[in-house]
Amino acid sequence: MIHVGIEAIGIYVPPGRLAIAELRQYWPGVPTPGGVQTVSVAGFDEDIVTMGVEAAEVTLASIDAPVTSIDLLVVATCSSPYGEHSAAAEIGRALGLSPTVAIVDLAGSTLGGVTAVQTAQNAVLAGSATRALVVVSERRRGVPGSAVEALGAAAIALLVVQGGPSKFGPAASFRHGVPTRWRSENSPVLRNYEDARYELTGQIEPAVSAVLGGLAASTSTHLAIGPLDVRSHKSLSQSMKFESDSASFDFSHTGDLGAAGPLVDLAGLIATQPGSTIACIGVEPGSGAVGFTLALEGVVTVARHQPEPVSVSYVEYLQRFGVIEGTTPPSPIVPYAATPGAARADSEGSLAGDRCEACGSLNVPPRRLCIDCGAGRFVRERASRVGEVVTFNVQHVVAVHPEPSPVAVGVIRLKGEKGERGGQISAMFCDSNLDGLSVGQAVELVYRRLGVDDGLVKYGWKVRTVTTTSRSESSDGHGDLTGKGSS
Amino acid sequence: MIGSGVSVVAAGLVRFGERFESSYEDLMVDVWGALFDTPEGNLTQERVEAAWLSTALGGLIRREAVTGASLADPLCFYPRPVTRIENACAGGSDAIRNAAFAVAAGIYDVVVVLGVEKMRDLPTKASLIAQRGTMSHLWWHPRGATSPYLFGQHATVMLEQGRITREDMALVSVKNHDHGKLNPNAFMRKSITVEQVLASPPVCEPLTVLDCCPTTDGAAAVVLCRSDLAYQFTDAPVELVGTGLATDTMYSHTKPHFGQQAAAIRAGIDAYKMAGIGPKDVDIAELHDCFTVAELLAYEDLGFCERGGASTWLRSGAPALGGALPCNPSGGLLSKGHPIGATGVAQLCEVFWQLRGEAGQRQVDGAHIGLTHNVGGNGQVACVNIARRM
Repeated sequence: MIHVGIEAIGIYVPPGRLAIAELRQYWPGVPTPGGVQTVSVAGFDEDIVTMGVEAAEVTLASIDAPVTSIDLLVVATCSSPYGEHSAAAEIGRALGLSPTVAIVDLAGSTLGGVTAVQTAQNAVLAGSATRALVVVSERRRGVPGSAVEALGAAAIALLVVQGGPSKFGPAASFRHGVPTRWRSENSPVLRNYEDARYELTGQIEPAVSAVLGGLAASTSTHLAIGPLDVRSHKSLSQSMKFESDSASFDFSHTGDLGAAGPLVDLAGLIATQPGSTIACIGVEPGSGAVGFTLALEGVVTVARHQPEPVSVSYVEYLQRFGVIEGTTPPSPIVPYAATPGAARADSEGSLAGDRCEACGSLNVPPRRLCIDCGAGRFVRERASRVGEVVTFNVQHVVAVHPEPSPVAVGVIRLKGEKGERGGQISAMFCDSNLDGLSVGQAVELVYRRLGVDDGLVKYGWKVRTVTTTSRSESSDGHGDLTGKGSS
Repeated sequence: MIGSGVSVVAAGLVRFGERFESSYEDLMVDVWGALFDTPEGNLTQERVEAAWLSTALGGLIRREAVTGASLADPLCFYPRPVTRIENACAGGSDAIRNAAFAVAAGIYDVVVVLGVEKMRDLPTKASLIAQRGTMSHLWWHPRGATSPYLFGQHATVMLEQGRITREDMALVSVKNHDHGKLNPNAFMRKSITVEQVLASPPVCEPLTVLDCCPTTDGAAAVVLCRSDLAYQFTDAPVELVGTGLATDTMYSHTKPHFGQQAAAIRAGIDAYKMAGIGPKDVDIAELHDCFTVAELLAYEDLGFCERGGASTWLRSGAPALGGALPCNPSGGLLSKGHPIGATGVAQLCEVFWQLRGEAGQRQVDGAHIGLTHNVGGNGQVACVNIARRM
């Protein structure tokens, strides 16, 4: 068998730490992950892509591997920022990989981390890649108040090459098919069937045991599995009769790292157990397990970027995941917000106009200087609620929402108004037969919602067509507003 | 004549279109290079003392604080002065006008006017929203209005009055696409038929897609200098002899008339007067045909034909290549494209090449006087510039 192995590994753990003890204050009585004191938390500006890039950069730098030498990128995660879009494409772009480098995305299962390494191994074995980069990155969260709420965040990158200081042995798989942990479509949070003993003894142990059997694991001296929690890692190692019964990596400060967990565990053993043969097994309760063995023949570089931990409160933790969202900054391009400009345009609501004392033109909206003669003395009036169409267009390509296009927009001369430029308004049509619109047609003004911005409703006036016989006129020339008889 | 005389001595234009591969800055660097690529005299970048930048959508599409550094930075033009002009779609012509004034005042000998717009970094629909914001105070702009609406309003009235027919509008697009097919820098380089215009998807009835100019990326630039220095830089300078700029009210509902554009009429009168010519003296014109109806309005507003005569004049063949007064030999906004801030500058580029006999297959024989007509918003502003072969 051709010698294929891992050349170098890099790990990134974000500095944020949420204390399990704080969770216990808010959710008393809820089981917490055994032996876990804190979980690592990604920053506001981090996700599996950015953490994956950090881990990959650390890995490449550790052995001065040029980015041009990478000819395959395999990415695994359960927590991609996209339901549909390649995270590998994003990571490849950030690393500056050639656009022709093949990319593989493995998502939706914590088995994906080990599978990603096997995928790289097989590609190198087949000769379709010479130096494959594997990136496994997680930023998961469980249902608040559940035993799986606090999950860790981290990323690991591995370079898989022909030759190299380590050598892959056989691989094995075992499948279940009944979930005890799952994240539903469109849900941001992991759930679990709350029977930890069944999960461990009924699902995890049989699956791991079966995979170890398939790996001919008697040759393996150590088990890398990555904990679902620290206590079950220990119990599993003991029941599987491995020398070292605790995890090589301090999972008590990161918690469950999902698909990255077994590989992070593997990296720890590589660093501390030179010359050993390690069985690395990924397990997902209810799905099964998958594993490979790796014999350490030389020095596999393990680089880490683990900034000094910073504690993160539960409130900030929830903010970082967008569970609690504060107000967004006001946009500079906001037509409808509660601005001073909106307050000054108060007359728009009542559709008031100013009648010029000099020329009699009705200025709608009110202005300081008359639109027709430039004079500046007015009498405030309620504008007529009826008028006729001066011009209009039926708009098919238009950015209105939620009403569907087409919509009609036009200029309306208010009834009885004589001003050359005054006495007209612009408005959108509503409740009108758009095929029947014409110049000169009678319309009435109606008060409607014009849009919503930042949750504020913008109200204003639209027009709808009327037939001349369908409404009465009041004595002051303003139409009545009974709303009867629209066409 | 503008003051003691201002001339155009170089023109550059990058291909208009959907330039997805090029940034706003790329377009500027490319058009700047084009100005100096084929020096006929001793025109060098170092001779340029100041620049005017025309760009309309920087704030809305690029979300930038608007300054002349947008030009100074990518061109390494700093610390020389850059004045940035926004006057909706008429900004390019207004920038030329203001740059010409600075030269005429004796402040600078040689200046550049550069117009650029990067519109297709947004979906075309978002681009329409952006343009909506340029048209008026948002509180008073009717919901559902767009750029096509601003000209569609005129079309509705003119059709209602029987002044034009729907086919007349289509014929403008057919003519300008025929012209643009001959222009290697045009966006839409294919001939179309009246039937295709009428059958294309409706945008703003009666306007269909082929009645509307495309959302376009592009840049154009010209070098202006004192006329008494012009022959230092080229053997065939073109003199700017007239300019007019006028405004109207902001809103559609404060227009006294549809079917004419008061600002364009006034800008034309002022430009003719300064140039000492009349409409009959014009040999070629680049008109603001953002929508087909706009070119029909321009024929009448500029006095190329009498009020109400646009249909007859169009159908006489006068504004086509080979006609009495070819309009939009470049293809116009309909075919060449309409990168807003660049359009007025690109219009003068076309006039420059036409008057020098450099317009290739679309050359108008013996053109001596060329006019550009550049309208902003709903006719809120218009600028007319006139140039003559020296």
